[in-house]
Amino acid sequence: MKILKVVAISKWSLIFAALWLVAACAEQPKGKEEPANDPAAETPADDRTDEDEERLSQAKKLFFALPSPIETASLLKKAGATYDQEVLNGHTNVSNYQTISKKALNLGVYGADLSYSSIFEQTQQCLEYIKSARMLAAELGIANAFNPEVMERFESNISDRDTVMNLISEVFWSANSSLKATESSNIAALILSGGWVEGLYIASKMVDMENPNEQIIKRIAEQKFALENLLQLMEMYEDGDILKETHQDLKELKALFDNLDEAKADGPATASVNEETGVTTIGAKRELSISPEQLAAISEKVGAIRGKYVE
Amino acid sequence: MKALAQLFLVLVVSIASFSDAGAQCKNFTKRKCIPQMAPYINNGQYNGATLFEGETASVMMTFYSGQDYRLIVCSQDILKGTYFEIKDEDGNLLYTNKDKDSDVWDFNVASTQQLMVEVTVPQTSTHDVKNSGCVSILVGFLE
Repeated sequence: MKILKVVAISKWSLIFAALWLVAACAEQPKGKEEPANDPAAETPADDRTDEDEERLSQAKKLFFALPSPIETASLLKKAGATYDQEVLNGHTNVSNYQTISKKALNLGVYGADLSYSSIFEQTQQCLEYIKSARMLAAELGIANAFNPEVMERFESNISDRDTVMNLISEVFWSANSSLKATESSNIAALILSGGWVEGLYIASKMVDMENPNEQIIKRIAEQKFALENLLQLMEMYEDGDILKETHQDLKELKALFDNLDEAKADGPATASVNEETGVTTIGAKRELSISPEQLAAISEKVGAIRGKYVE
Repeated sequence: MKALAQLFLVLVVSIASFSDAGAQCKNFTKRKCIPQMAPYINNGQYNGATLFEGETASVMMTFYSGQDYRLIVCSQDILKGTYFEIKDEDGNLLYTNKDKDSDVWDFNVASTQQLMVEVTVPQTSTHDVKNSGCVSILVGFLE
């Protein structure tokens, strides 16, 4: 009888221990989820400032989005840009990138080059850039974004521009979401940074100062807004050294964009709906202007930054 | 031995049931939300989060003149009455789907500008424990 009682107690002890272990390992309630590596999150609650608390309360639920490389390429083509393979990063440079930050930045760069090549239906270049991007993705732990099924769809549809563009978006969405789901948002931020810098660099190379294309120049000036968002995004996920250098580069570039003149309409923007199509148009609000000197300064700066990333 | 095997089974089942909410939100977005984007092209960025009733999610982004856009705000059914508002940089309300049936909004802008998309999950549950679920904000453009 005594032996049975001991066994019964032991069994229940094991069950209670197991339940305790499960509770300890279970995901914490998602009240106010704090971003990984946020200094405010690591600060004891008693020591946090009002600014820390506000930032924490907002950080999880506030996103900053950038134009995708596909959209940037689309804007350039609509503005009259042409294809120039010489301005793109060589796909064979992929083996040069050894650090995580270089791999992430250049995955973004190759994403932009792939987007630009796809918009201009350069199928062979697209295939090369997909391979280089896949290699970097694997090294960053997001190989599933370029899984065999996706690669086969790329190859089977390489001549279908619309399908390729959708696949590029699908692949980068998958990579972006995987990184965020595994709390590697700093890597995701680097990829976005590399892609944005490459897009701006390509745009700057499309400008012929002897015969300037005002539409392309306008699109370059408008990158001021995207850069503001990119910096805000980086500041949310800043983690030690991995984002520090890129963050500094982009701040220096922002200082040049801050010199641009901006004309804002009085009063708030308006919204009107086309009854036939159901499409809403948000009314005019602001216009940016950029001088040739400002354009030259921005072009030189982005060229230097980009050169550092792809070497 | 049998008790240990049973214990192991309990552990495995319990841990599996607490799988990562981030991955679940991503899968929900891919399965339920992205298909609504066609023929627009997704901008390739994941803006999703698990929200509780009473919480808000926002995304700030640049929209370019000459482009046509589609915004989709996708939420799990448990988050009843989820709606979005579009505000300019100064916080002025430009559009809301609060009294409309659709979570999809097609639009364009007369001049390139920053807009804030703000999604709110209203408090609807009557008990103390608030419902939570995935909310995703997707943007696409027409090529």
